[in-house]
Amino acid sequence: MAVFESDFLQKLEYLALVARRVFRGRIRAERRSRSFGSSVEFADYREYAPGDDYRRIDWNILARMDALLLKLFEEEQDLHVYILLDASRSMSSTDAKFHSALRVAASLAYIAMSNLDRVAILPFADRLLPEFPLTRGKGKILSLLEYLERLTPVATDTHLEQCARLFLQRRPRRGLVVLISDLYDAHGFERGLDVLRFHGDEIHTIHLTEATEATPSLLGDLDLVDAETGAVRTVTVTERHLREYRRLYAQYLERCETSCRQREVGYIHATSDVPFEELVLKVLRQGGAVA
Amino acid sequence: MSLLSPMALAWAAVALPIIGLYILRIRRRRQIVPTLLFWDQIFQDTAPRSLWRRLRHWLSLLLQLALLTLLVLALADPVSTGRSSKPVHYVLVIDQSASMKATDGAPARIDEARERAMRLVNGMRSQDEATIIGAGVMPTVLSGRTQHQPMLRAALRDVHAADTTADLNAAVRLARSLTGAQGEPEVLLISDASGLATLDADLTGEIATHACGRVTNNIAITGLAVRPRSDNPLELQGILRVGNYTDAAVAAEVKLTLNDNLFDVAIVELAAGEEKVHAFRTLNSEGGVIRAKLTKLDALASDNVASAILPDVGRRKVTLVSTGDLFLESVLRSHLWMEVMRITPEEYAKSPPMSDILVFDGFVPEPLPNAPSLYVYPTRSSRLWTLGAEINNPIVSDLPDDESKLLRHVNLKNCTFHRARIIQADSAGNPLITSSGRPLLVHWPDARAPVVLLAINTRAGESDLPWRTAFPILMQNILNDLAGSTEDSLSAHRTSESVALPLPAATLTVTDETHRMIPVSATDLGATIGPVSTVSVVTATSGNATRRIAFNLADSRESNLRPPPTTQPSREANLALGNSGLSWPWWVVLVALAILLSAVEWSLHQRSVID
Repeated sequence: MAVFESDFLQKLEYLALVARRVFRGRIRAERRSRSFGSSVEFADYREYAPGDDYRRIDWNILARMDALLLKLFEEEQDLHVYILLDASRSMSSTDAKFHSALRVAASLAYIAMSNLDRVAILPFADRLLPEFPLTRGKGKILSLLEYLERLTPVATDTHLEQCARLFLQRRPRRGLVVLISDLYDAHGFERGLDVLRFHGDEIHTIHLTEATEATPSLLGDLDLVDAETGAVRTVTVTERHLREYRRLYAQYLERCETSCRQREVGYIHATSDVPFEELVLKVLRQGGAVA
Repeated sequence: MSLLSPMALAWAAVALPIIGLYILRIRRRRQIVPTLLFWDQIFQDTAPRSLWRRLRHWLSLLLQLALLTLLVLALADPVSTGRSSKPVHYVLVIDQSASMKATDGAPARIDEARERAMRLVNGMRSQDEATIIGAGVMPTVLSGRTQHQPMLRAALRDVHAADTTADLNAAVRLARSLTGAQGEPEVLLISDASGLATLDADLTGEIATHACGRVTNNIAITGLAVRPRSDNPLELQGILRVGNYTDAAVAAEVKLTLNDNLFDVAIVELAAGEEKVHAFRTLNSEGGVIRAKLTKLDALASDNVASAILPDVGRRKVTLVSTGDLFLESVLRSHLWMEVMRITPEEYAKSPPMSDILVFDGFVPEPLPNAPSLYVYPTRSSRLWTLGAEINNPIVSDLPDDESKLLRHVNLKNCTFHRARIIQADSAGNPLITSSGRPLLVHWPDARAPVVLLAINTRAGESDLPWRTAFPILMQNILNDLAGSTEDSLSAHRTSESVALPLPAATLTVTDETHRMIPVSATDLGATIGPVSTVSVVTATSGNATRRIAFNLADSRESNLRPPPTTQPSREANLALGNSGLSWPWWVVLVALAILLSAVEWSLHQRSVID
């Protein structure tokens, strides 16, 4: 099954329009940076120092107060959107989950590009995989889709903390980090979130799972194989075990949401059977993920 | 143990695919899961596969193989050693007596018997044969020897108990006489414990028996008889016999009705096991049915009611044709129900009167009247007899026939007869008293016009008979006979009896109170009715003649639903078709076990996935 159908681009355009209409005034491509630049928005005054551009001296002040002051203006900068896409083996336990992750990543990237933001896609597992570099402009969407289509999960486990550290070393500046993952990290996904949050990035997590992961229909004698580690566990699964599993899984989902909220990390959970358009709109509406 | 279909053992080869499938089954499925985090938590405290779970697979295989073994054995149709593969001829003897109607079985004893017989038939193999004999008053073959089970079942469905006794010994002897190619048949007698107690000792060890019902209390009317007083038939004397077949004293209440009109309620106090006779009287002149009925219902309904027929006892006109015999006329007039008129022979010759009974004293009309008649000391021959010479001082040489109704209670010893006629009766005449071979009293028992001839001169001085008590008794018996008031018509019969009717069988129609036709047998003297299957008053009709006959159970052996203490319980062990499992052939048992094993296996499987 193709990851991106023939009308995928039309759906992306629709999402971009909807995002623009619904979140007008709140979601803007233009962002005021903390540095001062040459825009038209006045920010502050400061005393003249040798070497400053004479064109920024406020001559009216000099004439009235006999003081050399420079007018400072806010510099407008592009938002850098980093999409961290989990490409570990657990994401490929079913095609649906990984494909859903790819579609969500593509959608968010397109919306960001439409708002003149810069977007990078960084797949990861136990390490960072070859990335789609920071790119600006809708015209690059085809190459981004082509990149995503070629992307395949690797047969390794997830190590978010390690990947987060590598990411922070590589990124040119702070930005919006969107994490798309199933959060099955034996090392603890919370540690990875802590690393990202510590360095001042705005983080949003899209937690993607399969419906069958919550309510598996496994019964009898089984060799359970961990998709990421390849570890095998021989068990006899009964209805009682399934009840226990469902209880633990519900606790796990609750833990994921609680951990994110406590860290002021946006959190959205969805199963792969939710259409990606619905999921993206949900992300935009509830989390302001690309705002 | 032997196998009737050993070729079926080839089905054991199915074990190979079962083992193959088992090997495939025990290979665990490999299931890739996104993470083992949760499964590790679930199984961290318990061993993921305990010893029991590992052994369960082997136990499951053993159960499946055992299941297959049972089914293969069932297909092979094993039989016990005592029941060889040779065909067996079963003879089912089913007691159809009244006690089998007792409602302490399922729901009646006869139903239990039918069910028991049905189980045997259902358990027959294809090569087995069976005969069904109903044990009633006479043994009856209800189904001839056949392998056709539907026919046997149909015959069993028609088996019903009758209100009669049963001759079980005759039925069993008939069953044992049905020897065929297979040798001695296997006989199963299905009766109740009371019936089994009547079996002859030489039969008890030869057959299998099954006792239906249980020990049950019963109170019964075991007898009802009514008769008119001899001197006044308008007054009825009755006796009622009631039996208490319980372990406690009871006061049995019996309602007595005459033509459905209550005339007495008898309370009969009875000790445990006691039978008592209760006497009663009533007046009747129109005839009808007198009926006794127990007010309290019990397990056997047939003996709770009894009936008796009363004759139409109106006053009878008796014409004495005589020149004058004071003693004879006085005897006739002493009967209150007789309206006696005396005429002379000349008057009779001029105009014969209409009369119920004619008494000719020293006179024989020509022709003989077609009416009940008594001829005393005839003076000439007729179509019935030839008159001979007179004899003096005849001596009664032959003792009177005690069974003759005319001579009942008549004692002729020391009677002196001075004069008598030599009579030669025709072949229809029945000499009752003879003197050296010469008949002194002759009876022509014609149904419509009976005739009695007394060859003795009864006039005073010619005989001392008029002074004897035998004279009025003899005359009463003769008048009763001529009036048609026989004992049979005054009382009742047992359902097991046959009653002769002096009516032509060809035109005779007999129905019971429910208008059901009763079969009639033709005899030389007319017809016989009975035994009848239900307690009832039957009506026999032939042309204008109608007669009613009451049939009652009246049998304490049938009414006693408590078996004698010496009665042994059912003996079915010597029947090859099984004892307690008589109707269950081995293959049924094996299939049942297989189903049980299937349930165990299913339970194991359920435990493995549900727990």
